[in-house]
Amino acid sequence: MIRVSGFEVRSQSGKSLLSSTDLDLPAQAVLGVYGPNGSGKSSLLRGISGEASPVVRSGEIVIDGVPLNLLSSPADRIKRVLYLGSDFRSAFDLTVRDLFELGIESASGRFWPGLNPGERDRMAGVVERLQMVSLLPRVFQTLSDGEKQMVMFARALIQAPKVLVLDETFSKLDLDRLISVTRIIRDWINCGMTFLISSHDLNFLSEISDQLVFLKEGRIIAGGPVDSVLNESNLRELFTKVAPHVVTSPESGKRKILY
Amino acid sequence: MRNEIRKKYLIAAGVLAFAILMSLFLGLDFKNASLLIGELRFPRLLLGVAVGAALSLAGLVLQTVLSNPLAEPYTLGIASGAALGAAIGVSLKASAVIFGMNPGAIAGAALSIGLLLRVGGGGSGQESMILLGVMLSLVSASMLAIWMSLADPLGVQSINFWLLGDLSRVTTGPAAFLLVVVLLVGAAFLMFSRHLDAFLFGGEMVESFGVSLPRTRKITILLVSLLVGLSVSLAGMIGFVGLIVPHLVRRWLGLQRHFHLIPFSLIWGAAILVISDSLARAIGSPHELPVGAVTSLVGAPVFILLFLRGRRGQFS
Repeated sequence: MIRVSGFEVRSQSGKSLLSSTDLDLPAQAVLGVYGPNGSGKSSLLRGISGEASPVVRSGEIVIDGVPLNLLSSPADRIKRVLYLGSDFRSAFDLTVRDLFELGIESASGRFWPGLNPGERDRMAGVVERLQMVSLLPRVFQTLSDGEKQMVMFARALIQAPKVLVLDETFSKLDLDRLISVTRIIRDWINCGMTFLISSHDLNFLSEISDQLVFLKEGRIIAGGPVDSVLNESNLRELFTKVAPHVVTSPESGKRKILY
Repeated sequence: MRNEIRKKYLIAAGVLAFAILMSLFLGLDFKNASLLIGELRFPRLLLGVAVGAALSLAGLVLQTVLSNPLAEPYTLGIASGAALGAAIGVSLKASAVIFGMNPGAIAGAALSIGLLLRVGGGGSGQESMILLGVMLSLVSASMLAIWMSLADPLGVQSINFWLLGDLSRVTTGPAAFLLVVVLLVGAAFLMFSRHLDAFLFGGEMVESFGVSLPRTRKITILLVSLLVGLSVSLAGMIGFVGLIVPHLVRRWLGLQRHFHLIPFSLIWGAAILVISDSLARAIGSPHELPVGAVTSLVGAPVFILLFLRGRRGQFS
């Protein structure tokens, strides 16, 4: 579904931000991306999503059989892959409803604003499923940081790309919301979506991911199924000053860290 | 909702009709009515409508694309760049002047926006962009004064035209031409209204709405330069219309989507400038006040109010 080969990112001054990287991810799966600050997570995720940024990229990224460089128009690209960061702001008083409508219109590629009845139903269905009806009339800028992240996540789901890239998008969520996000992502995977998620919460990534990659200083030091990657030896390679313990959750059977 | 919008279109059209009547008939000497209206007041009205609509549309689009509610052609120094370009073009007689309008003004406006984006567009804050614009404006105004003093024997008197604006120096042809251009540019922006909406969450989010950031910015720079350049070359610099009108429209409609903001900004911009011009003519009669002075007297306090609200994070 996603094949990354020989993908490299350099700053305009020539500094390497991400060394040659290869990845394969099947459809309807979650890839967790983990690493210390500045390890190249955003370079990798922005690169895979084709987001415009002032860096030099090389290598090949193929999504669903189509090379990303053939999707030069953002309108075509967002149907396949959509990138979300973590910090959302607006200088204007746009409501959550406006944002959702804008999301659907963007996915439709139409020139004129406005939703048709089918799109209106689809939006209502997603909003109800995510329990966000009460947020619809709220002005986006007045929401808490966690609410903003949830609303942006919902808007991305409404746009329904094949691959959704979430770069620390859940960094401000409380535990309740974080748990609901894991359920929502599982639901959407069943509907055919694929996710790439970076986070500094390794237990969250372990809970939600099918595969995990550890990045350090711009290169992948470990990658594969969560159980094979999440171990104390790899963590010691990532962080020299801490020695986390890896345990298995008796409830979910997933690996977790204690520190 | 649709009925409410329709009602507001009627109200806005009513205000514009009132402004037109005021411009044509306020203080009119009815003995020479047809001559005065045909030769003086009608071209002036037409120019007021075109320039007011142009500046409001330019302000609306700049505020959105730069994610800066304090942006407008005057505060960002784009109008003074256009005035400098126009003055140089006129003095050198090198530019092809079409209908009294000057390509030098369009180039001056485009250069100012380009410089603003180059120096201040890389993620700098709203306040620093405005500061940069004010500096740009001061430099352009100073260069304009120097140029006019050296290049034009009557330059010092002409400086007032460029810096404070004047709607009286035009004939029907150029004013009508400008109005047609403004309507065409308005129609173009209306077609791209969803693309402008994508900028409401800042430049970083634009592509996630399927909109090309560099292409939309380039088109916007081109069209805004056209609007501001042509307006300034015919009417000089008229400040704050581009700031007040978009805020008034956003607040009045309670909407942020551009599909409605664009036509309402055009109508209200036209009405407010025509009313300001009629007041500038009537208040000090038989002398005339510069229309730019009237708009600045109202606009500067609004700017300060918006600036303070923005610091508390409460724009619009």
